[in-house]
Amino acid sequence: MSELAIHRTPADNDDRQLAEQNVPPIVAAVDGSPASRAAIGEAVRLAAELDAPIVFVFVRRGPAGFFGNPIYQRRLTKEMTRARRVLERALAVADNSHVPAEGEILEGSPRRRIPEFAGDRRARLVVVGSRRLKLGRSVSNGVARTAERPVVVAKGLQRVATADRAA
Amino acid sequence: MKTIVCGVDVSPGGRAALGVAALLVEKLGARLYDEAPDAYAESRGEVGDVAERLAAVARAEGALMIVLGARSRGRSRAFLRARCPAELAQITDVPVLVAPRQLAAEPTLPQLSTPGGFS
Repeated sequence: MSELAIHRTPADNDDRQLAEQNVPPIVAAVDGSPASRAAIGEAVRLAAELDAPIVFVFVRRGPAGFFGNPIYQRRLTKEMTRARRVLERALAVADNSHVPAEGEILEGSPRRRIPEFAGDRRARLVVVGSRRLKLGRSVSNGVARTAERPVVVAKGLQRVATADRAA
Repeated sequence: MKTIVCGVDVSPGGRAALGVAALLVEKLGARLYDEAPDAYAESRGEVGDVAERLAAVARAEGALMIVLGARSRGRSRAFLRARCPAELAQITDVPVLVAPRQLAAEPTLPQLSTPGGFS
């Protein structure tokens, strides 16, 4: 398992001090999807209200090693470039709201690595986005069931009509 | 006024949800809307599908957040039924907070009572 700290953008000196005082952060999982953008917005809003720093995490599964060196390296570079780009966007959103934030790239299964990282950093909250999966296991559901920290599942933008009917 | 909707039952997850919701209410200056013996809380009983009813109440109240407890069921039941947070996230535009069951055993929620934390 590897961790790579990408960036830290405290908005000003006070925020920098807050981030460096080992204050338990809000951990927000990002992957560049629309659901992830909802998670970024919710994490920034909560961080501003709770005076907490944010750690954005991008979890990559890593390219398969059996492709051999040239292909492996090309795919790894592509993954890392995408991860950095997603984290830079998230950090920019936090910076616009004057919330101290940093980014981390993790490797492994998101369902396992996000709760582990939140526990290691003594996170106050974990924020994840939710997208509807027709097949496969939901990361947000898995994180919510296994994390030992409170997990916020950021709003999905689909199927709101069902709630309207229920009301 | 900001409102937090909390789904509670007698399970450890329900108690954990109530504890986390109470801390959030204190920190965010919100109003708690569910079964809680507290002056800042209102309660309501609903009949029907849990996810749909919670979404409807949250929408009607203009809630800031819905708080639920995590449940651990068997693999088959988890696949079939224990998907309330995921279902809620799909049918409502209100963020859903899932409180871990571990917090139910610690009434003071020490994990959250850190300097700069909720309390």
